[in-house]
Amino acid sequence: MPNIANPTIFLSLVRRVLPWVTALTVALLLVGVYLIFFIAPPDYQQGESVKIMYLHVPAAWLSLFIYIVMSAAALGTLVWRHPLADAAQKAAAPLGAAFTFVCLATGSLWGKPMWGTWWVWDARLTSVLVLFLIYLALIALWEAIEEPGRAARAAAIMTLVGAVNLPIIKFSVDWWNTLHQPASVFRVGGPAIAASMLLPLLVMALAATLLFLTLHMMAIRNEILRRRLRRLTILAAEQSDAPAYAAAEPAR
Amino acid sequence: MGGALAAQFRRELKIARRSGGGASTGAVFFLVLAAIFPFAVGPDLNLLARIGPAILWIAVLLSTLLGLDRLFQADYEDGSLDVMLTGEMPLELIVLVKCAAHWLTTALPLVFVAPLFGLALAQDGAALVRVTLSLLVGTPALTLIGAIGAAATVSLRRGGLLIAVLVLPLTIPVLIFGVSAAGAGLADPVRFAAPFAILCALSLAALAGAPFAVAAALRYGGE
Amino acid sequence: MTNPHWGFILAAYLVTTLVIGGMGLKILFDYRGLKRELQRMVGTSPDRDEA
Repeated sequence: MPNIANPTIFLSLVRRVLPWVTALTVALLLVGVYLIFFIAPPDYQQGESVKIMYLHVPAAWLSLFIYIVMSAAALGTLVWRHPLADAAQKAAAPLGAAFTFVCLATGSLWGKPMWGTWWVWDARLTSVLVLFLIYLALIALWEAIEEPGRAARAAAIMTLVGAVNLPIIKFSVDWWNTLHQPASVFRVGGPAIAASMLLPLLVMALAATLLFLTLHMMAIRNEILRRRLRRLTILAAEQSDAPAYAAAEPAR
Repeated sequence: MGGALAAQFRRELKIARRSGGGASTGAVFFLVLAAIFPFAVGPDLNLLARIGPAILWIAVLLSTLLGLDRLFQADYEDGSLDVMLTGEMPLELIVLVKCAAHWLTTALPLVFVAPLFGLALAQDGAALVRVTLSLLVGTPALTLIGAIGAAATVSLRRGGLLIAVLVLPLTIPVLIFGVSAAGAGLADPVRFAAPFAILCALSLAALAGAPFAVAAALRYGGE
Repeated sequence: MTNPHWGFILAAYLVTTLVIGGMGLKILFDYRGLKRELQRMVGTSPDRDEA
């Protein structure tokens, strides 16, 4: 029987902290959007399209940050058998996929007007695409294994193996990309950044990070509740309490 | 210990040969895959010669991956896995032996069939040698990395597709260097040695690391 | 805006809002559903710090 003391403390912590973090996130987002649309200048080379950068770069940063958080949680699952770590892992995967998708989509929408193409198989884009696939694979794994503890341990191992593999993938895609030089060379990095652009970028990056923390906390809470619900449903069924069993939802 | 390992190895080989369906079906799947590429791409021999190594590598990759759920499935179902988990022999060694047997019976046949089909894909002699060597050295990495996915999903009944989804992103480096070593038709081909060496390194690294990940997944997956 | 790329900019902000906002809503509705189910089974709010 897993120790549920910490998850309970976590739930009360969430109840107290969540409103503040949410408020701070919203405030920062508003400040960021204001800075982007009323203060930040158009780019010398790119014009207004550079406004997409303020979405794209924070999303890219988060897609990596979330994987690091997920890996830390995976360690928590394997080393300390902490049910909170299980929940943190599971909650992080869809969020990671979402931010990675936003990174890819905004990148495409930025790339089309700027560099004339929706996609190019350069090292950076390809690595991010592979990261997106890894997130999706992990989500599939979480969905496939019914028992939460077993799912967490299996996912933890795959997450950590993926973490080890990410630098290798990055290196090999770099290699592959230098072999197959594209016909034209794209400056995917964009222009060197001016101070008037740096501030909105940092604000958006901070806002996005807080946004992730907010959503992550909420999602962890859901996983804890889901696990409780599952346990209660199984207990009710075991007690062969016919009305409760008939009324209960299937174990998730 | 050596005797016990050898016995385990012989057992695995015997099972693989007897069940038959897995290894030979995998080989047929490989041939079918490699054959449908020309149908999709057209009979232009120049084009096929250029992408031939890639076709062969993709076919081997997919055949290997889709055959991986057999690695632990039978043991899980008949209780042999529990015996392995609680036995005296280190689980990592058992895993190594199982992977070796699996590679011998499933992947190695593909390595030999591939150059034969390479002829059909207009590969010249040097290219055939390169492809065979790259597959020989790269397929152990595929089997070992794939075993991690197989172990993580061992409790699932039809985990074949999920294993492929989990493992494919992780095998991309092997694919990249494998095709590179096989000489994927570039305007000026890269020397064989560099990507081949990295391919060897990847397989060795997989040999060193994967058994531990696989054993951990088996232990944690069972409880 | 006279900028010829405003369509792309709009699309980028729209996609971002929809995806992240959609995730947020999904998490919120999930929470409400779970709370409802737990209350049905236990009879008290699961957020209380009870043993």
